[in-house]
Amino acid sequence: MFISRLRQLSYLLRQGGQDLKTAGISAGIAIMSIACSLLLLCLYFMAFSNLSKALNSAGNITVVLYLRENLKVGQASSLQQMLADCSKVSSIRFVSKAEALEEFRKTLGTDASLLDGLDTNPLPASLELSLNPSMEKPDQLKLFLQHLARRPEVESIQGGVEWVQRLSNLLSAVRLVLFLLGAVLAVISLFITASTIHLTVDRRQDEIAVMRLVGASNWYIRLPFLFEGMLEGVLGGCLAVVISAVLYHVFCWKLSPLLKLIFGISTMNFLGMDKMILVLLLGFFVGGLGAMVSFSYRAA
Amino acid sequence: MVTSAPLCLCGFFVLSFFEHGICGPPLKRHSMMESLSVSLSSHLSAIVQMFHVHKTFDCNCSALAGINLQIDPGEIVFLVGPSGAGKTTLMRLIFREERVSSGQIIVHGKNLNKIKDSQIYLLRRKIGVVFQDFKLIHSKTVFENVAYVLQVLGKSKSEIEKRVRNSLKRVGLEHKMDQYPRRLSGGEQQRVSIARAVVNDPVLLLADEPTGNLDAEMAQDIMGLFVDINIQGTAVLMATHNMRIVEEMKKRVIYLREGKIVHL
Repeated sequence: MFISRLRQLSYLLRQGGQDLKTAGISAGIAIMSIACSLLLLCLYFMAFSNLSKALNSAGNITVVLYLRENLKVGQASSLQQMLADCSKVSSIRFVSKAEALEEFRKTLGTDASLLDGLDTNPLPASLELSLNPSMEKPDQLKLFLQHLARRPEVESIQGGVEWVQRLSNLLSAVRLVLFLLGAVLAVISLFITASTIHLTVDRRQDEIAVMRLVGASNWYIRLPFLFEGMLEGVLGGCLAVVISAVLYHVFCWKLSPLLKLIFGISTMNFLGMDKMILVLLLGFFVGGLGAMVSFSYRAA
Repeated sequence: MVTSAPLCLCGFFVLSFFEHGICGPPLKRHSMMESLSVSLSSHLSAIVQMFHVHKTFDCNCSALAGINLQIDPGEIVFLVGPSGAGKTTLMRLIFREERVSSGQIIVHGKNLNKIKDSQIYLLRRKIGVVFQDFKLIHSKTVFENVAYVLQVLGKSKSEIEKRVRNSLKRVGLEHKMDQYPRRLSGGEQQRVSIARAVVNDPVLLLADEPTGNLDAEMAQDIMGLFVDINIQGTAVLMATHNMRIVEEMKKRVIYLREGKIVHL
């Protein structure tokens, strides 16, 4: 019984492949439309992973916490201790008012004499934080910095927040736009696949009538069409990955300097193996679902 | 019908008890039993039984009215009548391509009214059907057309090869098994269609005007094939216009006119 089922399955798989070959242009259109929607998904994965990588390099971000004047003795050191114990901070350096002035003097170089006229040191003491690269989520980072800004010892924060905010917004926008486009295209490709399968079913009406006549069950008749849809989906997925690879190789060298400048990442990553498999699986399901839609439409 | 058999037997014993008591004449009871069992077995083994079958289409046109008939194993039955008499409809009812409007049809022990749509394919695997227009798949070779029936059943490659060859040999087309149907003559296409219909050894072969598109000589050949198939034990129900064949064969004839059986 099991072997007989396996034989039937292998026959139906081959039949599905043959149907795809004979479907010609309509199958090509379905594959292209699935490829287009999955290409957007590939771009989404690439953009997301690379922007996340930029965020991962948050260890390069130095956030400066300017401390209030007239802090009580020990307040600054207790804050420093608290931050040193915090897993989100990889390193911390206390810069006293005098050290800040000294550094400013060095920065001014030959113009340092301008500072000689000052009666008091106007620069606040500060804590320079290097953030931990393990903080992948921008929202999490943003919350942490907001939490620090609300502390009574902190006058203000410089660096980090705006950058993280901008990156976070960019990431959300990219995610939303690509997700919406991908979803719309996925639905469109689902219906194009359904329509392709529907045309194939129409074209083979006589053949299907004969199949029914000789005792083929409904599923026996439907399975080759289902396999055809799934095959179209997987081929669409493969095409999307190939087009992504081509785009990556053409544009990554041109984009690299720009990425270095804006996000501080020197190389762009291509899709990981897990994402490629995910894209193929999605193609498989979109194709299969398209075929199922075609059956239900026909049954209706 | 199968489930009604024990009830009939019980009924017989009850009747027998009231008529003769427990100690009634043993010989008479024995002979009644024998006649009942003969009648029951004839009902149980019949390939097709139709009881008060009516078929009306959406246009309120009555295609068949009050049809009662029985086809036994190994029989050849001709269904004759003018165009529009309901021959094709009757055939389509038997392989459940159409549903009856009222009445009962029992095919090989299964009541067609009680079979779910999703299970019809199991019935069709026991019936071979031959059409006037052959209904072959033109994208498949002769071999593939015949083999498809066995592929549906999940038979092994070697078994398919053996049975398809045998079937094509029976119809004399073994040498043309790699050709496509379009390259064959009408008679040859009909032979392929017959080979396909009998490759799975059906209990019943339905043939709707199988010689309608063929010349007299070819029609004679095709009839010879049906007789061969019938000798192997398959019951044959054939709708035809060709009265010459019907007269030559000297088999049971059912005459249909305006959806009713005129002569049985």
